[in-house]
Amino acid sequence: MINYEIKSYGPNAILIELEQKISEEISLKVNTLYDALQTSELRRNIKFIIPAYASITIGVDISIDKLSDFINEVKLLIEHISISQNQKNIRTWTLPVCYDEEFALDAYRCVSNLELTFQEIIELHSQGKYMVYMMGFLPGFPYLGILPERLNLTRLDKPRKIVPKGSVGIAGLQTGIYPVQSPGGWNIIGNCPIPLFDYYAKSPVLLERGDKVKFSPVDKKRYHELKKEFNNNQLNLLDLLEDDN
Amino acid sequence: MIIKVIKPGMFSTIQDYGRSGWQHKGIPVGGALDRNTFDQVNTILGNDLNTPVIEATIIGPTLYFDSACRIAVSGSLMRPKIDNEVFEMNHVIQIEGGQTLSFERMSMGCRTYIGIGGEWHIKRWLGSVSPMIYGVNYDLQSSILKKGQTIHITTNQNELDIKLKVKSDKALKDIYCHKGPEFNLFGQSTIDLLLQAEYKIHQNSNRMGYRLTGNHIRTPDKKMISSAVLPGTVQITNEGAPIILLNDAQTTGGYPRIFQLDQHSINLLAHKKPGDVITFKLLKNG
Repeated sequence: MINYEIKSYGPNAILIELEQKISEEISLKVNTLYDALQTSELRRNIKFIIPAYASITIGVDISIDKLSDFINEVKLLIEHISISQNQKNIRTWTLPVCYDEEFALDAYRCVSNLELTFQEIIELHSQGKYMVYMMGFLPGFPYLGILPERLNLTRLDKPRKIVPKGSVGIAGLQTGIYPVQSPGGWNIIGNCPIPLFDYYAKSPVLLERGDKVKFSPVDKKRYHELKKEFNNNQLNLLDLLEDDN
Repeated sequence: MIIKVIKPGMFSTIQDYGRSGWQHKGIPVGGALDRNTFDQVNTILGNDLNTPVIEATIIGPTLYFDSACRIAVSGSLMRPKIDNEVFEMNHVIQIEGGQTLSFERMSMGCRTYIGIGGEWHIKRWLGSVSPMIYGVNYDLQSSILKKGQTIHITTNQNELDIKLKVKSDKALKDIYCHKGPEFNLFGQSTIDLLLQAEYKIHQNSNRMGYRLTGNHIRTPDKKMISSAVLPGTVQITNEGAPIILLNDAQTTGGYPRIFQLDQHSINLLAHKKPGDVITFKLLKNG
């Protein structure tokens, strides 16, 4: 069963809010609902669906007087949904990260605030298997969680004007990778040489909501080799996927 | 026909309806800000819907046409000229080969749309010509006009000589809003304060969003979990300042969404530039 609330969001969208917390359980419910909407009859009146941590926003292409009928149908759909345990194949990626001081722009801040050595931070960060809870903020930016409590650190007081492409950051109990250069306020601890956003690729965004991600530490030499391999088309991104069977 | 960009102007982009349906991957919608003017320009030229149009900002481009075609210019008043002779906006105008289109500095407003009759041969990315603001080198994108660039168009000769009916509402400062999802987190007195205040559009405003300066309001104590934001979403930042997100904005955000503008209000806002003053009005059944 899904506990939800529908909120109005202007004349062309509605917002379905689930229980407002960040948890794997809620996130999986959002995924189920997202899939159900994609395949439902309602799809033809839907312009876009934006799933987030604990909500789904639906953009609609109907006149305002038909909106309440549409909402009723969405309610029906939600109430008849079964949260199956049988999830579709979940992809697990192993992404290389170089935690070298050249990339770990906030190493000092992390060490002094978390009262851990940087080596301990690397170990904690790369031990976890994280889920993509949400895609947003930037093209291809994954909100990954949930970090161990010992890595819980607030964002920078003042966001950095330029966070380099590939930067791996932590903020609160989340970690993420900046797919493109951008301003940003996360604590940067490393850099991933694999592009998560590739304008020229057939499917420009690598990760998907619901994917799992592990980080594997690499040294600077390997980091540059991987970049080179990617640029020379010698790197098959599918090799970063774990065999799930 | 080939158009050569002699001067790109301040920020001229080639836009269409944008790429809706990729927001779940973090990719913004993009697209012409004033959809109504965009549609009108294509309509009087007899173009298909969603034909690209140049969106010029404050200082228009200078364009050389190598052969004859028909154009239409509408939006904020920018005094268009063909070979230095001013012509009227909101009409279909015939341009001859070898002529140059230029603009006087905008006297009022912010954005003007230049439509050209025909089929544009320009690269689409995820179904749209609109530029990507994040993470893609501007030099690689032909939809951000640059000096010396050429645009290829197969012109048509649809004879539609209609003068556009242009609403004279572009100078109005009232921006009508619907309630946003977090509207109810704000107290009535806070909402009243916001609706009574005048806000000035900050210098640091663009197609991603308009920052506003004016009365700061009290933000709700409750922190929200990041959720989708849309073009036209009005958020209240931690400092209590409203910010209006537009077509190139990011797709998710963590600030409370107090209002949502409809397309009509976004159309109006497209003609506001930094320094202009707006007031928020709440729609009766919004």
